[in-house]
Amino acid sequence: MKQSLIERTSGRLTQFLEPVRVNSTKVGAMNFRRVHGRYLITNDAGYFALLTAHNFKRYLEGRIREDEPLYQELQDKGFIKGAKIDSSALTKVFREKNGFLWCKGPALHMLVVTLRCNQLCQYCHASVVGPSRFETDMSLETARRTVDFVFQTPGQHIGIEFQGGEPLLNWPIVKFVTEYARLKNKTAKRSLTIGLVTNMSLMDAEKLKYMMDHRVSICTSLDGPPEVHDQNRPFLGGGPSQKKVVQGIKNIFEVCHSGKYMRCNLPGALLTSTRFSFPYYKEIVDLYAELGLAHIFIRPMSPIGYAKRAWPQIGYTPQEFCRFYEKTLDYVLEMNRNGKPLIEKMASLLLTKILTRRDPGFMDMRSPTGAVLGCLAYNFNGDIFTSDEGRMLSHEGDDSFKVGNVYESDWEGVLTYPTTRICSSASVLDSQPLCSQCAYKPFCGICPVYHYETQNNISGLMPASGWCQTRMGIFDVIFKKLQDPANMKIFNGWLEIERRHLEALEAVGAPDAA
Amino acid sequence: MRLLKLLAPQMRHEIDSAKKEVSFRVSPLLYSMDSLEVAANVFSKQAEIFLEEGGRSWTVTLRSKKKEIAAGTLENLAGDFLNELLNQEYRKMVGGFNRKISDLILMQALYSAKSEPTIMPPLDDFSVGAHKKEMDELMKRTQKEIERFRPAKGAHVVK
Repeated sequence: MKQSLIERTSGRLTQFLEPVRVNSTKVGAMNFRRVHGRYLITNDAGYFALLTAHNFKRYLEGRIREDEPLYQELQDKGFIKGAKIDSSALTKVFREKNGFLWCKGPALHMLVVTLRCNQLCQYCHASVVGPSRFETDMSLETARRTVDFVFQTPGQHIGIEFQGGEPLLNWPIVKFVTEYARLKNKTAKRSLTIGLVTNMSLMDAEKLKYMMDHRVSICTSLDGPPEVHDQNRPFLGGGPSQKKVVQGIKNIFEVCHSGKYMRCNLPGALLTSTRFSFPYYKEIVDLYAELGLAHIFIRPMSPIGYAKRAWPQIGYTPQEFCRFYEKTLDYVLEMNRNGKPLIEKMASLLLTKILTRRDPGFMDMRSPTGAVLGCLAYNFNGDIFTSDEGRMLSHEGDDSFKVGNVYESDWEGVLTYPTTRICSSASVLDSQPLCSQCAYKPFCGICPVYHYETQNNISGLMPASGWCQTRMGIFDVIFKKLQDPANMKIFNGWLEIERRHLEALEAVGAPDAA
Repeated sequence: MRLLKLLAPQMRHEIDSAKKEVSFRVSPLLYSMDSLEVAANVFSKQAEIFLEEGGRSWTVTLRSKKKEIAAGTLENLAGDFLNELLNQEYRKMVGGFNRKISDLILMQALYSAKSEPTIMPPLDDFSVGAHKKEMDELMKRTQKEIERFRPAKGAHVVK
């Protein structure tokens, strides 16, 4: 059956509907895209403008008069060539938006302290093992060497995140890493934050108190109401798990609200969207709001590792996900309009880039990728990977993304490892077909592991890439919503909350924090 | 016009179902050997790729690694290979065109990551340094906890 080219590329290539004679002496460097009836233009500094078709044509033909307000706006944003263009101001904005290019090493260190888990999630990337497989626990010596390695990296900010498996199954090592890192930081004086990603099933009062006392933030997985969560995340051997997560979150709130601990200890939750989530978007949002969680993060799932095998049962097309994303975001916005504050995290991360032109530290959306340069993943045996996705592949027997081991490597060795350089150079969007001409380039990024896994191509074949289709779909939704002033007000409110939250986190991470 | 004619030729291919092979020609005027090699690497999981160099064209043969494959699937395989080849050739062009800015961005990112930390007082060697006592206690305590936390083999129960 014949298929239109536009359908095949999911409408991602914007075409001119009528011939335009571009005035190259006036039109500055920019990319464009038609979004919801308007033309979006962007440039490398991260500025954007949404123009009507009429104005876009006038802009391209150099027919916008200097006395028009639109001319001034476009000139200030660097969209119009000429002597009045302020290059140093644009450079400053570029530098702020791409702050990660000046980051001194990775800020996020993910420690897999065990592969053991007591749940058997439908999509678990981590390819976990049963609770009796102690040989997949990180040993004391490996933990010590891992922390030593983490402190070898030169970044001023160090974030340690416990992952698994279920990290609480190796509780002594979680405690050791926490205390050793704090002890080490007495001398190193970095900004140190520690977080735990847990399924909550093993969280008790003693462990919770420890976490609070040692300023370890807690994040859990909550896929929504029992109908969804229990289907996605059953206990090993069967049995519902949602109740325990909900109770765990309530317990943390209770402790936080006792006044003894800082508000930044408030729990976070991550949503993994499977196709089972789609009909329950309202119930999912309602649950997050009811629990008092500050964020809901609508993330697309990646067909990597175990999830690749389960994809026919739980996966979806990029278009299906984007429809789900838009419906959920609409519902969150409606909730905000009704006075219930809840931030959709994907939108807030992208809006930080789009509206404030600052770097929110989102590893997935960087050019080059955050792998190694922004984050590292450490396996239970001390193996170091470019990212957690890279580590997941290793469980499938593919060590392509391994860049060292804490027993053998130093930071310089990891940074200069060929895989590190290949991942970095393959993910610079300016050298990427389609991406280099995309209006979303200033805000986007690509994942080498995703494309290696789905297309056997570390750079990716963007016209056929599910990653690209999903990200462009999300950006389309965001720029569509931005055209409504009522949404803009809510978005600006979110960014203000995020700014204050970041300041509070920095205070917690400061070396002299209580 | 010439370019359009070159870019959109009817793909002529030959299929040998018994050998699970599909062969087609590509023009050296359009594609570089570099792009051909990269595309072949990308396809190495799906097929063995053979190249025969002729005067004005190269003949590419893909031999599927699948145990059984239909003729239509072989045709799709050839189409996908050509897509990848086009992607690599275009990537080479874009990469060449934007090389200066790409290299600058990459160099900046790698250079920053390599740099010394802003604040880097010498880290104590905890085995001899100021925190030796604290470290010794922490190690001992953790070792004991590990022993306590791990019951005898096979006795661990998670509720």
